[in-house]
Amino acid sequence: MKPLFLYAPSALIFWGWQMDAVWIAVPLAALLFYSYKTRFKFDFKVSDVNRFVDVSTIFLAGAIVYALTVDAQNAIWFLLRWVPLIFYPIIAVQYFSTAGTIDVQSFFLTARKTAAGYTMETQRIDVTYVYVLLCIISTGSDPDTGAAFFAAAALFSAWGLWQARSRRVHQGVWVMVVVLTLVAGTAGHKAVYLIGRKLNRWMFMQYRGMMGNDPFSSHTSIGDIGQLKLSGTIVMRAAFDEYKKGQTYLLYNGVYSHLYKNNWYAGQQFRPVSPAGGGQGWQINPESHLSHKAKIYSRPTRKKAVLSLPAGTTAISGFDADICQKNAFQVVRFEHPPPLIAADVNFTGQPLHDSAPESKDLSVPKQEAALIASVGNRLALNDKSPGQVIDTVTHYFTKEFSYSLELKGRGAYPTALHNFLLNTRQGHCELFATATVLLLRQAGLPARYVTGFLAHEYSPFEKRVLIRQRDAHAWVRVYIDGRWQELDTTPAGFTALDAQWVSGGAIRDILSYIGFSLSRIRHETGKDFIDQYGLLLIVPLAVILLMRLRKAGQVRKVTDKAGQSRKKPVETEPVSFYLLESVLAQKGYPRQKHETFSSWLKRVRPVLGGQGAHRQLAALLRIHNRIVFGKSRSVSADSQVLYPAIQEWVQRLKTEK
Amino acid sequence: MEPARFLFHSYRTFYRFRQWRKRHVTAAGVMVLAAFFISVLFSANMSRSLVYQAAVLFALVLAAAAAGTLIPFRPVLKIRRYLPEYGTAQAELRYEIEIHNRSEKEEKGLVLFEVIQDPRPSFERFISAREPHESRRNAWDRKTLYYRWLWLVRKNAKTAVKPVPLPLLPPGETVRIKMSCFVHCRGYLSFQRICIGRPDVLGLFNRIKLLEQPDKVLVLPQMGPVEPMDLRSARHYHQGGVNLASSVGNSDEFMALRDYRPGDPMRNIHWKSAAKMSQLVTREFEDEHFVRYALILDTFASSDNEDLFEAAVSMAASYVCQLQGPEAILDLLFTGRRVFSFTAGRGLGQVGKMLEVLACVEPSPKDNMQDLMPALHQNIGRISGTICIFLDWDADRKRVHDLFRQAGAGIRIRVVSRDPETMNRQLAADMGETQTVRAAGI
Repeated sequence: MKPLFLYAPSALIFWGWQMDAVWIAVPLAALLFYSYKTRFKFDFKVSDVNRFVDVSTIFLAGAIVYALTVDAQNAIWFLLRWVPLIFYPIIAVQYFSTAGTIDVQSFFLTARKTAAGYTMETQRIDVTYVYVLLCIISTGSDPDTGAAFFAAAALFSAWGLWQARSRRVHQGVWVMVVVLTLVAGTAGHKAVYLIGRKLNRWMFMQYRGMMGNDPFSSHTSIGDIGQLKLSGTIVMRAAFDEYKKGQTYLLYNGVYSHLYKNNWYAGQQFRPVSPAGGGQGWQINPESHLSHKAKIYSRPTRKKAVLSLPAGTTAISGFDADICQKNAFQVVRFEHPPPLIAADVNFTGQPLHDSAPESKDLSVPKQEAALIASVGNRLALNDKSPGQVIDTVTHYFTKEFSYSLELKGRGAYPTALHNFLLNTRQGHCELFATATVLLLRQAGLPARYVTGFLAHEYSPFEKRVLIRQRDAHAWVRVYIDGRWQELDTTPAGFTALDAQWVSGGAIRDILSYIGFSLSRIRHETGKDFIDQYGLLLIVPLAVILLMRLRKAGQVRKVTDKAGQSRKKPVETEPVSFYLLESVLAQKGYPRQKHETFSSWLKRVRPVLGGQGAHRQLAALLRIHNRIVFGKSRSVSADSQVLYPAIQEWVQRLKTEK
Repeated sequence: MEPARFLFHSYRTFYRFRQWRKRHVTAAGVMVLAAFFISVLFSANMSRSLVYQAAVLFALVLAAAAAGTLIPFRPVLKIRRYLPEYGTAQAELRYEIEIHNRSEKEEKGLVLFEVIQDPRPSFERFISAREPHESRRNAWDRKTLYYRWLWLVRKNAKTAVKPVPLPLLPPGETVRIKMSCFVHCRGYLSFQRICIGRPDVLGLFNRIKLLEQPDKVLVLPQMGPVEPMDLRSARHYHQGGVNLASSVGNSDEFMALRDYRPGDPMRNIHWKSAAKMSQLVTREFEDEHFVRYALILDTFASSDNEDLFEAAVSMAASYVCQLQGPEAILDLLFTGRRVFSFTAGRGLGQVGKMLEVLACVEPSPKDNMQDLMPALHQNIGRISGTICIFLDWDADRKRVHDLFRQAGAGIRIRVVSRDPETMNRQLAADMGETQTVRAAGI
């Protein structure tokens, strides 16, 4: 297929227009356009083309280094954005080559190597269409392009397809088919967008545990059937200043007050927290003399990341983020946090700052009301003091229930909670926490549902507590004696059971530690270094680039259709023997075209002054020839002999009449 | 399944798919397919990019083109292939295809594909063969055997014919298409069928009509200039018949003058010409006395040395062409354990026959030079001189040299080697400085 006129330059200009890079796109497109108009082409060899491909490869490597240094999370989008520039050398070399196509082997290092005696067949391709495709996809990587993107994609597709159309059918039929396809595409991409959103939502529901926490709602697995999926992936690391062996910590990332069906919700708005003075992080709550300290490492998976924190967090520092917010339940989130959050946390260990109880903290859903009342009556909760209620409920769950990761659904009962309390008496932490909240509320104690992690696995090697995904937990905050307290009624030892379900992974932990250490180097200890000197990593690439281009002078230039170049005469050292020739020519003894210098000297011997002069000039001619034909062992030494002698002869001839 | 077998079946399947793809998907179709897959790759995050729109567009274009191929295609064509008698390896093969449109409607925009006989090797061949210089490949290539597969397929296929767009085929008319392809290897090149492709409206996919059209052409070995060999062999009486002697020997009836060779009778020297030329010139008569040459081709090549073997075959073919002249006859060929003699009949058309044998000769790695000795002993009386093209130099091959020397027949040996300089040093150490035995490069 022959590339269409202006196809690639147009795509490049469109890309520049949409990407705010017109300043670079227009000159580059003009250069491609110039290649259409000019007969000035280069006769590139395969090795020359390979060098241009290498240049693009080095640009790509440099862009990868830059993207990973500046914004690792969006590196792929950065690369996609600039891909037309990265691969510009390749299309330029095609447009300015006499061949007009590029050998496929130039793109593959393995194809470049050929075993002696066996050479792969060459296959040449036109990269115009690939380049236009890259321009289109690059433009599509910017969501702000809007409707112009689809219009451009349709236009360039139709433009490219025109060349490939079948000659069997009338052009009108082709136009009709293309128009119908484009119309269907317009409707189709909207439909795909809607389906995609639903699919994303479904995937989020399936893998929400891996996607970060939602502070407004907690979708539980209550009512599901099957096996609760647990992963041993390390999601956080925490170092507590006053850690004692065997001690566990509850790190919360969501507090909810309203149960609807099987999911918990929190209607609390987030309000910004002002940064503490001197850029020392954020003062979440007033400091307390009971304050402890911890260093918590986590990787945010969202732009708005909720931090898992110990109860009673008073201050957070140690990293930069655009905005810090918290809600009335003391859930804290940050906007645009760094890829690795290394938070210095001050905390009291008690949820002292949660908002006062509301009516919602005492509500029991209608479908569960009868069941909870029945169980409450059986436990005689209404006749007990708050302390006794706590003890009774805790005793009830820890002694009469057991922990299980099997999800048994609702069975023959109206709800999963009915099945749990009346039938199976087995379940996971969400069931225990939900049932506890409702029973406490039934007894008149305000209670809230809390999600987060149970940090219990201490690593002596790292000297930190490792928090895995399987440590995700749910528990309760109950309001007693004028303050909120944390209550966990899930039977003890469930952590060991969780670990049984998850296959161990020493290699995974080692890899996780290596990744964590590298992240610390990049984002914590080496952050300043990377910020200041990270781009210097491109220097070695630039050196390689220069080395590859060193031999670029071997490219042969073709200036006209016949492929003949007008070469300038080779510049050599100024040879003064020609000076002697011109002087003698002025005196009437020019050298004829057919004459060599030696035969000419023989002819003019009488003028020069006889045999002796001729012998002297013949010796100078030998030196002259040595210099001119590259046979001289030392040009400078020969020149020092030749030039003064010639000057002397010139003077002598000029003075003679 | 063992890894090699798995790889073999994978390559077989992939090759078949690739051939199918080449016929059914046009270059533009490949481009749009690639565009679709690349855009799908970047479509996962629909809130971050709009590339999914392009993916949808490309998918619909592909769907529209694929739907176009569902329209039936029943061309009424009569096709005939006109092949030359021989082709030559490492040269272009030109032939013609005649297409007669027997329908009442014109056909245009069609594409013709030549289908070569399935070149995929057997598993045993795949395992036992060695690609030339395979040891130089890296560990990964040696493990995956992909380059060996490519080499075997290329060797078996011998050529790859590019698809040819057909001109307008008016109803009832006949059109001749000139075809050409570069042939890599010697042997029989078998064409199996011809495919006629009809592209869809968008030109992305082809609807294919298969037409069985088996044909084959013999591809002779590559030939080139070789250094002339002076075998210094004496003429003998051979019972080749007057028809041979009249061309290459001498008889009672004067035929021509030629350079004197040892053994020629003194009375036949043409002194006048000798005086003019300053060298002995003798008269040539029709007789049954002539010089008979033989060619011994070493086929005892291991699987690692197939490139050497091919070079030896090429050299043998070159000598077969060079040595056919008025002064000698080359009509004996020893390859493997077999002896081919081309003296029957009244003509001297043995060159073509010998080249045919050389075109089809295969290496015999299980045999060795000892197996050839009985045949040499049996025929040595018929031979004035011989040219041996060996793949190696050892005691068995030296014995062949000694046999001819003892019989008084001329002999010249060329040992094909990847490193002729080293081989020459080895030969010099073994045989002394001599022109009789020398190495030749690939």
